[in-house]
Amino acid sequence: MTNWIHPGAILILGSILIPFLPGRIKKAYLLLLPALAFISVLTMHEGTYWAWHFLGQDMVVGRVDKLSIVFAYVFSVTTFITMVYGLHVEDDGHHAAAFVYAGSALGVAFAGDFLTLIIFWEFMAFSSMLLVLYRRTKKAYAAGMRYILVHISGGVCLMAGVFLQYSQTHSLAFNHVEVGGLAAGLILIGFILNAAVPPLGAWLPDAYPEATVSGAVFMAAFTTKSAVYALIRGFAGAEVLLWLGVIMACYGIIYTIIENDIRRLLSYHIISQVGYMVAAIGIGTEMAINGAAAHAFTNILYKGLLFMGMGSVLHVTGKSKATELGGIYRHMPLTFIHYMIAGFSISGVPLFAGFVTKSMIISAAGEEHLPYVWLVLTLVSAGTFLSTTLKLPYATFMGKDRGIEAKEPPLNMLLGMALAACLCILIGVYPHFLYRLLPYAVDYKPYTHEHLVWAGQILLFTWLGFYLYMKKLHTEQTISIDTDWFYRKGALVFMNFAGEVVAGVDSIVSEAYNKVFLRFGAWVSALSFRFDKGVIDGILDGLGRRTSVWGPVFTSRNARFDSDVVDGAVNGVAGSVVSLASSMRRFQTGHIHDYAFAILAGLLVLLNVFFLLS
Amino acid sequence: MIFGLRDVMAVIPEAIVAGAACLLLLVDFLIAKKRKIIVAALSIAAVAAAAFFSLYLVGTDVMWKKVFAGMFVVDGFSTFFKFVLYLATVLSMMLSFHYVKEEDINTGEYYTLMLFSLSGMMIAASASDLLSIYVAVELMSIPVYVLVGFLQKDARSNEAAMKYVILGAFSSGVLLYGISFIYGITGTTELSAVAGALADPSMHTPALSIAIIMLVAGFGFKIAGVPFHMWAPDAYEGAPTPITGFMSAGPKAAACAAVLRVFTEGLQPAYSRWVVIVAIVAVLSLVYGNIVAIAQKNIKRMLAYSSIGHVGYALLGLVAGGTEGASSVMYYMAVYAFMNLGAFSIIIMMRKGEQKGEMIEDYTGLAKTRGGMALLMLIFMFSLAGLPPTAGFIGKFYIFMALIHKGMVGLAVIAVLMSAVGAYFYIRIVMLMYMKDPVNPVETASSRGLYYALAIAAAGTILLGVYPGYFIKLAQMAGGSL
Repeated sequence: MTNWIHPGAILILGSILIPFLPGRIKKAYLLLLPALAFISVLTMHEGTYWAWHFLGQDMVVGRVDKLSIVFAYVFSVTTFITMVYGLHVEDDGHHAAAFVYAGSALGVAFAGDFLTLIIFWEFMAFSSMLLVLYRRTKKAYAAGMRYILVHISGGVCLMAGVFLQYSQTHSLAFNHVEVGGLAAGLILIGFILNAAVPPLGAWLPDAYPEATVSGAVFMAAFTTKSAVYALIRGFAGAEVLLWLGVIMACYGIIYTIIENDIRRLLSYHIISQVGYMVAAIGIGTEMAINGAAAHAFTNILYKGLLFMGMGSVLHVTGKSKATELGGIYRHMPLTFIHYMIAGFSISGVPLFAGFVTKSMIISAAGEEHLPYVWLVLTLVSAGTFLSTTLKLPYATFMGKDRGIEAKEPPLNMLLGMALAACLCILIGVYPHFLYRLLPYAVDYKPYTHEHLVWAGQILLFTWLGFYLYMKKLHTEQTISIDTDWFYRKGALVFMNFAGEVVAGVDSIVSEAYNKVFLRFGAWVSALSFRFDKGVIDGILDGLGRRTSVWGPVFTSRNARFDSDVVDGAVNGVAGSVVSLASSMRRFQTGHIHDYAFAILAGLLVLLNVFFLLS
Repeated sequence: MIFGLRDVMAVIPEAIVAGAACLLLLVDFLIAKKRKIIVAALSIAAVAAAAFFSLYLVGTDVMWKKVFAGMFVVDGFSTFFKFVLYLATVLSMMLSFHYVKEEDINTGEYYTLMLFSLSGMMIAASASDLLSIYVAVELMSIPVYVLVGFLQKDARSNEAAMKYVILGAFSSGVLLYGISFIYGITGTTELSAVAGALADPSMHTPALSIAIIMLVAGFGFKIAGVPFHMWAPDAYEGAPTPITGFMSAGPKAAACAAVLRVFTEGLQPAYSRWVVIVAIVAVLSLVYGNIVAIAQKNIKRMLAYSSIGHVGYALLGLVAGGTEGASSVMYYMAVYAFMNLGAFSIIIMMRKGEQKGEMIEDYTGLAKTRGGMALLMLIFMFSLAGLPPTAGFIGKFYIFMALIHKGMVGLAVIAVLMSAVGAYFYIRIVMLMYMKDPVNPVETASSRGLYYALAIAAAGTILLGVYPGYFIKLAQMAGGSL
């Protein structure tokens, strides 16, 4: 019982010493703490530790089982990596907040009862708010305030749910919660708010882009993933989560297509990726739960790496709008490579981490005969590839060279990225390294021919799509309106609306009438006019022209029938072949990458033919 | 491993060619720039010596047996192809005498590189192991990469070489990947052992399909079949014209030989798996090559697309399968070497001084000014279009018959239709030459090498057209050895 040391306690209590240490020793200490926490996770055994009595209840601070170890494992690893990445920050408070935040996430992972859970839950909210505030800009301050308000409401829901639950069951133990009833509903709302499930997830893309560079990396790792952990623990198999997860995956991806702020785009990706996990929890089979845990594990690594990459760009250039960036890969090639490794991971490219975990979830959906879920998740993975791995790096690193002064970020940032990148590849190549950590025994092989062919096709066709529509997909100066609009502007709008309600109703009705009915009518009539003009007349014209060609043949009835008709037909065929030829000639662009792409596309077409026929 | 006398005997022709190439690299130092034709003459002599030994081997007991632990075989099939390759190489060398002076690339390496490529091609025709095939195909391609970029001052030529080498590396990777799959499935790369292993239906896994597709793609690149053809028009247009001819007749024929051997020997048990894939590539090549050729203004580029179309015909022979299919491909490749190199010798003849002679409109009214040349061009164009009584007609006819005998009437119909489309752009040149008046005065080069090459090509084109029986019998005997 005594040989267990809570890794969260190491971080939280250890952070007190930070301000008192001088220069170099402090840096070493900053790395020592997460290393100790990691060693503690590595050496711990399953069991129940640090239990105590309170209000006649058993409180368990240390419930150690396979599920909590997986999450603790990745939480402590990512704390170390992110600390390396953020080592240059000269702000003791920032480091302390980060440690408290990471420690609380570990606390959530080991919490055996709801009270402990709520305490660490609130710790997480406040310490992560500090990571936003330490950006020390006006926008960050506002975003941080909104962030904490949302999380306090979530925490209140959770607490209310827990108390209701306690009044019914007289137990605070944190175990599976039966869905149905107000108590479970409130607890679920508390959890899914932290998991950023829409419509409760708008805080995430609101706050993360305003956080400090390394703060955002921490935030990408802990809040949503600890909520995923809580959902696995409490609501595995709840069908509502399946649909919420699917919606979430799509919702996130749609916003990424239009988003311009590089870190906000990545924030929407978190939503989309957590959608996979939430959907997997909703499926609830052993394989799905394994998939959710594994995906959380790898997602923390590559999502952190993505944030590190874009954070480096922000750190070096001070710019965070994709439209203001471009052509900087020459100046920061290492950052670019690391970012792309993360991009390949998140898109599920074989041999990278995402492939071996995402496919688990998708396969679980397939095995449970949920074809639509399967299809949507597969398509979302194409969208992920499109926006994170093709569009964003294209706009940021490649694209038009805007002559931005850029250089590689400091060595510690590069090292942090390199560590995360190594892990992404390690897990991609040796998935069993991860699989043996998972809560259930894994009987899943990611590298089968079908999987590889399927993944290759999705990626290549997405690439093709990107290639063809590159111009259209280019980032634009946009503001994406999300549900946070309601608590940002909604209140104001509501006040105005209420004030002018009497006068307003009249104008709204007439406006609506004007817009909907009159405009629609005009549009319909214009359309039918155009249809009439274009299509019907066109057909008649065409017929007329044909007749005028053929007419003389029949009317003159002379011997030229043969020469006119036969030659005409032959010439017509020849003419169309010639025009076909000149349009096909355009395939030959002269660009070598087009040619190589044609070879790949040809390979794929043949593969498809083969699999269609067999 | 100890090699016996038989092993050494079997590779004498290859050894002669490769040895001569090495030796000529040294001899080249002793020869003044004006007299580089001596290197060419010695190269041709080396090819003749190799041809002599190939002929000599036919009667000996070296034939038909695998040597070098199953990696190499001298059989009728390879001997037939080797003669096509000797022919293509010698004709291309003869075409070059004039051209290299005109372009000021008159160096000895030019010919030695061709010899090196020839040695690779010969091994590709004889190799009976996937790995020796791969090495041979590389040996044949790498000198050609250099030759394509031989016009150092011409940006087109440099660009063509660059594209060719990069895409070539890419496709080699694909090919090798396919080979590794085959090895992974069957545990061997020796073709007859592969066939033996694949006779077991439990070997027919999805991985085998992937392997087949990779092999089709890798070889498809080498023979410029659609959709792996993209390099060909650029490379053909940019390369020195004799090299363009050489590429379309030599390496292409050698790669066809390798494809035939791999698919009809090694992968025969999986025929039902690869036939559809090969048929698709064949049809795509036919359609694409013949249609896009119409839109070309540069005659070299047009012939590049036409050669893509011709690959389609050759692959149809492979699809037909069996002895008849194989021998139809062999016959076709021989015919193609004659008629295509003939057409290229006319193009080279048009290259004189400032006149490039590469645009189709340059041929306007040629019949009025150069009657003999126009007549020869007409023969080659008719043959490429597949009109009787030329060799091109017999070649296509033989392939169509092989297809029909196998009951693949649909494919035969597509092929006939496409040869009608193809006739359009060949005959357009004939029309331009005969029906229009000349616009610009035409100058033509005169070179003994060109005349000899033209005479051989024209004779071959006509002979194989009017008296095909003997040659078809040769091809059947040779094809029966597969």
